[in-house]
Amino acid sequence: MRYLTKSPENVAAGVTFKSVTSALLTNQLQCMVLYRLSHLLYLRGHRWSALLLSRLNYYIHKVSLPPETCLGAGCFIPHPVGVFFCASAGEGLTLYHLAVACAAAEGGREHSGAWLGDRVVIGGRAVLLGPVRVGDDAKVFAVHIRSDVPSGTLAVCGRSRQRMTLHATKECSS
Amino acid sequence: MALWCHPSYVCVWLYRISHLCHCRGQKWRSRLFWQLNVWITGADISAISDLGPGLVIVSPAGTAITGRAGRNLTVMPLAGLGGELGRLKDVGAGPGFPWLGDDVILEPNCGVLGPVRVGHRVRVGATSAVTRDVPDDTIVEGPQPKWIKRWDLYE
Repeated sequence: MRYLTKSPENVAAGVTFKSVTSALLTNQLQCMVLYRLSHLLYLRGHRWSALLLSRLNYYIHKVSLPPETCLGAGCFIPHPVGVFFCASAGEGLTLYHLAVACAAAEGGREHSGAWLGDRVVIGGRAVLLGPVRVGDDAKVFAVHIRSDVPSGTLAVCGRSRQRMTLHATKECSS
Repeated sequence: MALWCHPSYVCVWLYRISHLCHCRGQKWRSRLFWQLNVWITGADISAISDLGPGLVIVSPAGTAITGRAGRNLTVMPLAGLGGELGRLKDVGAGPGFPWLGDDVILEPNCGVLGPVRVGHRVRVGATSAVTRDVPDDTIVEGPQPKWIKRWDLYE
């Protein structure tokens, strides 16, 4: 029960019957349990039931964790509502609220999500689009990541200026 | 069957039903389907919004859509269309609501706010907010990321 040991409130309260039951009732734990089950079924080859469990996870907790997603041990999602994660991650990932990691809009069928290293923190409203690589111990906050993030860095929102660029018509048609 | 219970499919269906009821003047029923959509899939797609065929909503949780869009609108997670309070100009989609052309892609966490006219084949980049008119064949890019090395100094 890594939630009992990792969450600061539970550490303060100690492992008692009340804290155990309250931790079991949190949607953070429930959505992770459902995702683990669906991923296990996916790895065993039961695609159908894995998909069903991930859909159930979506309808109950509003979190999109497809069975193809690989999350390492110690993953923690404090606020599951709205999280969308189709990527691979190493150990100790922390996904804050409204974090999005998925393939780009024209992404191919192969693995086109992000690859995350160990102990990565994805902050609220962060967007990882397409096959980017995030190194170990990196932190990403409220920003759209376009290129690879080196390990041990903090990525935050820089210049808050938007640009409009005309793109060639050939690109649109393709 | 896997497709039928996909949340994005369900949400688009519920929106179509509520919009149909709205067009027929059955306001109570359209509100019912709209609320059902919010309850089941988490997508807040208003019945008065007029979205063309080929609508794709990648992840319905947290999307709020009100306005008019043409064919093949792609809404990625947490993107939104909507009115901005105070600007009530009508550009063809109702007072204060945005008007989108065909083949528009809304990337995650972006917003099109207020009575703006977004052209055809526009890609609104992630974490950006559009509050002015956008011409055709345009990519709107959001804020650039900034790297801070050795984040342990800032803790």
